[in-house]
Amino acid sequence: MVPFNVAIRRRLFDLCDDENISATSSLETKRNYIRDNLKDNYDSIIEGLQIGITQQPYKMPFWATLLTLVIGPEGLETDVPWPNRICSDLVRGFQAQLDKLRWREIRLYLQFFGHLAAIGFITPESMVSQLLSFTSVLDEPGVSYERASMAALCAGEALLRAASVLHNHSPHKVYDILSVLGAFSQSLQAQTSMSQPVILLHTQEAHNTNEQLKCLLSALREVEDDGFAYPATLLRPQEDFPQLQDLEPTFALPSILVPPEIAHVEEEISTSAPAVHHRELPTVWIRLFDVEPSINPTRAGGYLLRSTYEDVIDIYEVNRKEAAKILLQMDRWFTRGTFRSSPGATTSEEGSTGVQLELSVMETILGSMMILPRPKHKPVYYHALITEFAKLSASTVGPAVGKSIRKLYALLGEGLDVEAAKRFSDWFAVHMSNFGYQWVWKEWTTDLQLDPTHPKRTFMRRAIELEIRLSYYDRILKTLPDAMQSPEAQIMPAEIPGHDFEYESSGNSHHYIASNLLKKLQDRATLMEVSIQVDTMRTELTSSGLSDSRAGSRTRSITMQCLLVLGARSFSHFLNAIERYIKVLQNLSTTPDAKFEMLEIVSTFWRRNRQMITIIFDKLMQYQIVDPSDVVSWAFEGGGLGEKGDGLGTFQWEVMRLALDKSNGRVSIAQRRIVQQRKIDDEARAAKIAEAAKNESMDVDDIAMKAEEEPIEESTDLQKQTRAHQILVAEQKSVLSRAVEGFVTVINDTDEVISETAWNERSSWTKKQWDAVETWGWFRHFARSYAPYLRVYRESLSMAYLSRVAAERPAGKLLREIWSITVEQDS
Amino acid sequence: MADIIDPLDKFSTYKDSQASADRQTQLTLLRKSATLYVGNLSFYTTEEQIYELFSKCTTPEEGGGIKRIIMGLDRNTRTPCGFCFVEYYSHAEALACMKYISGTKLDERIIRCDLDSGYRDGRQFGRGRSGGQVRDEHRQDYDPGRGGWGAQAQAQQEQERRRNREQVYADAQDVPGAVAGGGEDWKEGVSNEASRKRQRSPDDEGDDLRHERQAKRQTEEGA
Repeated sequence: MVPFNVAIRRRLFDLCDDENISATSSLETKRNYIRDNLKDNYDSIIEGLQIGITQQPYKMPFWATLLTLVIGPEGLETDVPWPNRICSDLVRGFQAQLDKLRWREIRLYLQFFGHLAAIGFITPESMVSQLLSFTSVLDEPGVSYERASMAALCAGEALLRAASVLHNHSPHKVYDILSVLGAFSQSLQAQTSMSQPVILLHTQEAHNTNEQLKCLLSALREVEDDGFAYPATLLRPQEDFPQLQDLEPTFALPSILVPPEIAHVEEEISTSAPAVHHRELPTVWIRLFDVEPSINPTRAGGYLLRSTYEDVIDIYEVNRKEAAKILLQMDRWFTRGTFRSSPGATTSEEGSTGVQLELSVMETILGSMMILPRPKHKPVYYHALITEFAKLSASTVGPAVGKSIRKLYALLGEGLDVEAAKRFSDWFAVHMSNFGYQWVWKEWTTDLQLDPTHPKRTFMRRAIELEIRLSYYDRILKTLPDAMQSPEAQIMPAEIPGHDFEYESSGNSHHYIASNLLKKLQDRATLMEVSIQVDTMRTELTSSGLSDSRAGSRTRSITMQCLLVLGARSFSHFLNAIERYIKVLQNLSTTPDAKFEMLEIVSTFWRRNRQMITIIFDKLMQYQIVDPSDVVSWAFEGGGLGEKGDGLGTFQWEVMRLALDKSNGRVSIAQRRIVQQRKIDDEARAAKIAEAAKNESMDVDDIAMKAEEEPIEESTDLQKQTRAHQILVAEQKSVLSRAVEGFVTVINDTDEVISETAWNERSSWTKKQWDAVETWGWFRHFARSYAPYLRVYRESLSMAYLSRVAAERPAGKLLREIWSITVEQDS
Repeated sequence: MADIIDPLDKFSTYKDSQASADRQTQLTLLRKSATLYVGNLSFYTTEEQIYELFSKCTTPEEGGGIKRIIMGLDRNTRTPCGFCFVEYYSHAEALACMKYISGTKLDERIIRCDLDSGYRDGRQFGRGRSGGQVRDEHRQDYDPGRGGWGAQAQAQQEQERRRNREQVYADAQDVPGAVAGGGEDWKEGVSNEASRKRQRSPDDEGDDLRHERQAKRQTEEGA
């Protein structure tokens, strides 16, 4: 059953949805609906408008017009006009969002107010001072990037809509706003170079990218140059209503203060609350298409489209199917001529210019997906959204997807950031898996001439590897043209994914003992039996003349490989094998060297299936057989993959990220446990006091006072949690140290690769250079992604490791530049 | 949000019809559940394919990840029968799958995810009379990924995969004890404390494991 108030407000949301009814008549219908409900359902109407404004931002001009149209039912007296009364209540809704600092909602309310100012309902005076409250945030001492940028967007996006009236009324204040925004945008130059999806090592200069605030500012400058006119892309439904012409502004927004950021309140972290990632670096969008026929977000019209798309993508994250539907109909909410007519439609003169809808949506979704260091939502959301979008209109979206892929591909080896390239291949494989793996690989055949380590080649290999993981070898092989099927092309893995058991052949000198053990394991021998057999094996190996350490290594190798054979049938089989004999594995991996060997055994065994390497490493960490720091070491030393010490490829990065996240995740769980334990202890203490008060018939406050005088003893549980936390924090530091050390070691020797001259000679680059450039890319990504964690240890890490690369050398300079902007936040 | 559209992570009508817990208990369980029921799988889809797709919804930095995957098996033949459970470490990860994965393709079939109240022994087996899933007994169409015609017919396609896959779970034990846990949260004192002391941090000087290890490897390779 739908509650009554919900049923009432719901009927507002189809405002102007029906294409067969004119906007004017839809607005009139809603106005009458509101009129008929004002008396009995006033609150539901307010709720409805609040939801409409914050969840259907593409209808903003209509929501604003609707409000100004509202009339009351006959016989119902009101001391202020209805639109004014309703608007006061909407402002209360805005204030509530402001108190919680929900920036998206705040920004959308301000857009709404901007439209109302443009219509002539809200006084320009109150509107401009509203905006100034937001720009004043930028001057707060020590303001965080996130807070400042959110406030800047709020002010700027509202100004885009209301510039005309605000400039007429108080030109100086408008110029003030523009100059504050301009100064803020200027100050972001260095940070921007850390989150650009296309970046070269020798310069901070941008190409193929757009930084969001810079776009907004340039859009505002265009409006300025245009005499502060109302942007041409935005609809003006108010013009169809004579009663809304030449309105005398009657509504003054109350003056507000943007509340300070809520400090990290420990009590608010529940064990299930997701971690909050604060943005520290500017939002930079990748630019795929030349200004026509997609969006140019540096122009007023383009920015308005882009930000509306972005809001829809963000708001409708809970239902990607609806998001896709709205996006595919976006052209309805902007003026005619903004978009070119869709392919196949009768082309008139007017329809041949403007934005191509599908292309612009694809560019926006991919741009959001590639925001660095992390997109707003998980990349898989954007994958799924594109899938829905393509399913809705295969014939028009399909070509847009193809063009986007080609543009992204063209940027490979031309500065596309390593993480952006990784997200590209991740999306590519998932997308293909949803559409029958149909890609015209043929068109990339000429790129087989490139060096095998060129990013285009690496992309093809990785995309195919991921496709195989989602499907199977033979299926994917069939999708490739002949030239790419052959092993020489180095696109398909040379062999079908599988494992290599070193002791399988009877020719191996340890074949006999290995097969004995394997037999036992297959017969589900008890843990005790297997332990004894493993011990015996070690003794026998030692007495056959091996040194203690080599006998230990051999025992480890045989035992682990036998377990891997047992677990090779499936992920579950592997888990079963590990769990049954976990004690044996723990005894075999008591030192860092032994743990590292374990990782090498696994990676050699599964050399032909890198997915299994990541799965098993993850679980070996989970079962505490190896530590995350061992995995980081492995990532750099490339154990078992024949790529030792060459730098960090995407796969090694993935493995390392697994370890970093595992370690951080453990600390985060431990922190939450402490918070929870404190709460439990506090409650227990309070209960004890209450009990004591009851027994001694004393006042609770007196007892509490007495209790306060005594030192609070931590419960044993809390002590245990605290100790666990300390251990995990130490491990976290060790993981981060190992990672920084690994990067510094590889990067140390790259002076000649990072210069402009070197870059210009990239056509002759081979493995050494491409590997070095990729490692730099991952270092940048590591620093910007884990900056909040690294910051805690910035001094000791910098002293111990950064100091190893001389500051005056090019590599030392770049290393320090990345470190200081991301970790130390100096710019 | 629910006013304008239905969120995709709203729990749907799938219920474990054999669970005796009443509706309220069921709901309480679902609100915390980190387990998904995944349906409409091909009989030949592997756990690793499932892992690949479902790992895209994990949040390891918050302590999440895929805990385990339990393949649904035909009660009689011990071969996969088209469903599985994916268990995460957190509820949010399971919800993310409902939003982003349910309704997309895996192994070229549109799969369906539902929040599940949690795996219990025995639930990995199909409940149909023939041993598989009930839905396959009533199916009228030809579905090469699910054994061809409903229940009895032989699939003509994907013979190779079929042969490979059908043997995988032949060793599946009867419950209990057949299904691994997947590893719990970190506990103190599990791994050897001596090794922890050897962990390096930037405060240690001159103790370079990497070089030690390389030196050792070289000696052994030379030996």
